[in-house]
Amino acid sequence: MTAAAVTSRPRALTYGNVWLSAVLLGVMALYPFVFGKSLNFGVSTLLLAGFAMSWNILGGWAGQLSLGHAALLGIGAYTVTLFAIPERAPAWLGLAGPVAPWWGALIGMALAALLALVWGRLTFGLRGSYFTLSSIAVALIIRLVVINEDFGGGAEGLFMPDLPKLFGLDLFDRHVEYGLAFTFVALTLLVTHLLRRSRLGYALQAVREDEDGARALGIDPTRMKLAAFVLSAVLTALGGSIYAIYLQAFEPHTLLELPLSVQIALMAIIGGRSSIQGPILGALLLAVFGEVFRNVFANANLLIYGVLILAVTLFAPDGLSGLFKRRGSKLGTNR
Amino acid sequence: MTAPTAHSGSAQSATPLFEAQNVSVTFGGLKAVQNISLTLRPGEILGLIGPNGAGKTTLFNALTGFVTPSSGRVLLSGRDITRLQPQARARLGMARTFQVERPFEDLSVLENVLVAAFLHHSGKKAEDKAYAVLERVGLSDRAAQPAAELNLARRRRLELAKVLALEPRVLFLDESIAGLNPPAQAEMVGLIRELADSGLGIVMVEHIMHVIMGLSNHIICMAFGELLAEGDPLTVANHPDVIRAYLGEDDD
Amino acid sequence: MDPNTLALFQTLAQGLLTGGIYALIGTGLSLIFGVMRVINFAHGDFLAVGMFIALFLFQRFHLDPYLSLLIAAPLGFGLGYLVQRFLLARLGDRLESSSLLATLGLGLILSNGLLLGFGAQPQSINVAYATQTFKLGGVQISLPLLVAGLGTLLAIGLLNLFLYRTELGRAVRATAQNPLGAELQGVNTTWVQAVVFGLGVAFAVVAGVLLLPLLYAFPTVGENYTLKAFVVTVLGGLGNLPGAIVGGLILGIIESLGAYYLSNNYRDAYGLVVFLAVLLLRPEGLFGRTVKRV
Repeated sequence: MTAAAVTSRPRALTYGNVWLSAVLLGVMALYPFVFGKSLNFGVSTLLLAGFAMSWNILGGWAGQLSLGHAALLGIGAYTVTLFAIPERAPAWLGLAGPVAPWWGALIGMALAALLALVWGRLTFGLRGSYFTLSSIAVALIIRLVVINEDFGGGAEGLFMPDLPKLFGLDLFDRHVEYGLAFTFVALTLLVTHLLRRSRLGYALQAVREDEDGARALGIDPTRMKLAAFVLSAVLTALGGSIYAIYLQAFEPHTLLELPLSVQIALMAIIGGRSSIQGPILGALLLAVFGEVFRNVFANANLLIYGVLILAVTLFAPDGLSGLFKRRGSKLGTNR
Repeated sequence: MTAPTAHSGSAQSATPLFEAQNVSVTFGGLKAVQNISLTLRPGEILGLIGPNGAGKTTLFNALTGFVTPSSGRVLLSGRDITRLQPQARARLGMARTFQVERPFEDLSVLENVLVAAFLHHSGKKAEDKAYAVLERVGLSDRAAQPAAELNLARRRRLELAKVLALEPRVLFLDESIAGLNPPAQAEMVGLIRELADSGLGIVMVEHIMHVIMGLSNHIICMAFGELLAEGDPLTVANHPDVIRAYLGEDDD
Repeated sequence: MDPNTLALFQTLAQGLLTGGIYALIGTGLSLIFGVMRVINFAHGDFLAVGMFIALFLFQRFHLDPYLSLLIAAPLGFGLGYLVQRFLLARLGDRLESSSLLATLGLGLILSNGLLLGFGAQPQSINVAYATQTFKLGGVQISLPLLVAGLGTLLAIGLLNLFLYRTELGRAVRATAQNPLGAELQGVNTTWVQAVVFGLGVAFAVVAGVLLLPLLYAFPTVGENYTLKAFVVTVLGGLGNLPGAIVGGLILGIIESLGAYYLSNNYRDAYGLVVFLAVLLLRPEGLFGRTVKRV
């Protein structure tokens, strides 16, 4: 090893811009102390940011634009709730009593992983828009099943029952929920930074840039995309279970609908798919916009998403975070 | 590159390292490659020449798994790999470069090689492997540079570094030399020679006659998808059909 | 006829007529894809726009929905023309890769714009013929559904006349087959694309108007129809116009049969299951290759 090689080592490989992430997390950590009165906004924004980050592992890193992530989120939410309600899943599975939400979340994540494996295996052969179309279809079928079969509470949805305390903390305390949502975002950031320097991450970047070139180097594109999908699904389901605790009551129309999937995807895309923190920035921006225009647009708040995504496709294909970077410094070389 | 020598045991004389038997490729009704056979032993360089449109690249794609032959067989150490995907072939010890070099532009030079080094190693070992390969092709001082910023000569060397990181037994080089200036050509020729000496089997497509004639042990000349002539460089160069095929277009 | 056979015929008739409307929606989507390689994610929202144009004209001026077609269809054409001219055309080389997001955004703007203008409440119009039916050999047929079916036939007939009997139609077909070649022959492909997008949107709008007497109008009604339009075109093969018609009829029949014999709750799922199956097993559609047969 020559001196040149040794000195260049720390620069050649990078986890991405860790400092920016640290600053973002710092701001998020301080938020409850400054805006203690708007914790609801904080929790929902953090959750959306985490969903956008999770989505981006599939949508950005693997380049598979899913418009069906609400289904994965729903699996997390439904599993944690169903297992916590004494007379539902536990009875059906012959369990003695309700299952604590942290175990429920793990079960939900496992189910989401399983679904992603099957879903991906079936649809990754499809190119471009076809995958997107199939993702909408799969999510819609899942929604119809939940609405029509009575295991999921039908169209009325579910109520979260009393939950056991986690390390003595009341899970329905907004501050605790903020902590959970914060942990979720921090986890998605951590995973993305690790991905940036991992075998899977490099393979995904290679596949996205040049699929044939990647195959020549021994990379199986479908396997890599599957891995990304599973990772994305597991994180989304985890966020979904936290979301269920935060909502306490939810119905298929709020949790499993296409607009939620669209919202998650567009936050990531508007923020910037090819940057590590882009999805978080997108989520923050859209959440703030949504809050500012809430009285103007009321339930038509997706109007902002429409306008922004049009603006981004026309003027900033790399998303907003792409505007701050020079050419050639996307996920890859940016520090 | 110690791995290749390990494979050149005594069995090699019986089973060739790489073999193509009567490979044909048809697109629609068009026969792009007809009935080509070739054999490669460790340490051997096989040159593939022919005028533009002779089907060299198609044959290359068929041998490396990017195109499925319509008939014929492709064997690696006697194992039939005709229908194996390129990614599976890489695992078995086959590697190729592309005619138009295409580094992953968003990644640094080191990361480009790392993508390949991950095939057989993980973590720190993969990183060490990638550095070692960069040293070998003389790019280690560029490790941190974005691949997009490299000039043509360095891009070619990066392509070579990527395939070497796969630790192949058989290497397919698609025009690695054409387009380079003479000093860079000489460097590349030296590198390829070294690789062959270390025991790799190499199949190369090249346009520059004196380069390929100088490097190859055996030459196959194609025209219109068919075999025109084959043999040692001198025989092929003096073959009347070859001369005729090249007369019209010996600009390169 | 015994009751079971009658029920079967009833279900088939219902499915065929509904399928006619699906064919109309799918034809517009397929036409756009065939010429521009753009999958219009706002297609269903344009349908919703059509419903609300007719609703507005009815509520404000008591204009019969079928008469309002005369206003809605040109409006839809103009809207589509402008969208292509001032939005999609600007994407240039990125059209194929970015059109998904651009049309998705457009759809959000349309549906949420309707939400702002008309509110989220489902609304319907009160016309005498809305619930009128007549019997045909024992099979009951809803009058507005039959009109919708006939309207589809008429619209598709006119489209064929346009494509095969006019100079512009020839230019459209040439552009679909080979945009560069058409351009070289002096076809203004930018203009052709705008016309095609306008036509495709007009088809969606007409379908919306025809559906108004049958369904409640609400701003997000389009979501469902965008997906149905995809199902239709994937069944028939993207860009294949006759395929879209058959695809529409098949979807209508599958839904009717499924809803009657299996469960009405899953009406929207049957088509999707078939859709996924076709995507996976025959991505080129049921009828051979995806040809640019426009």
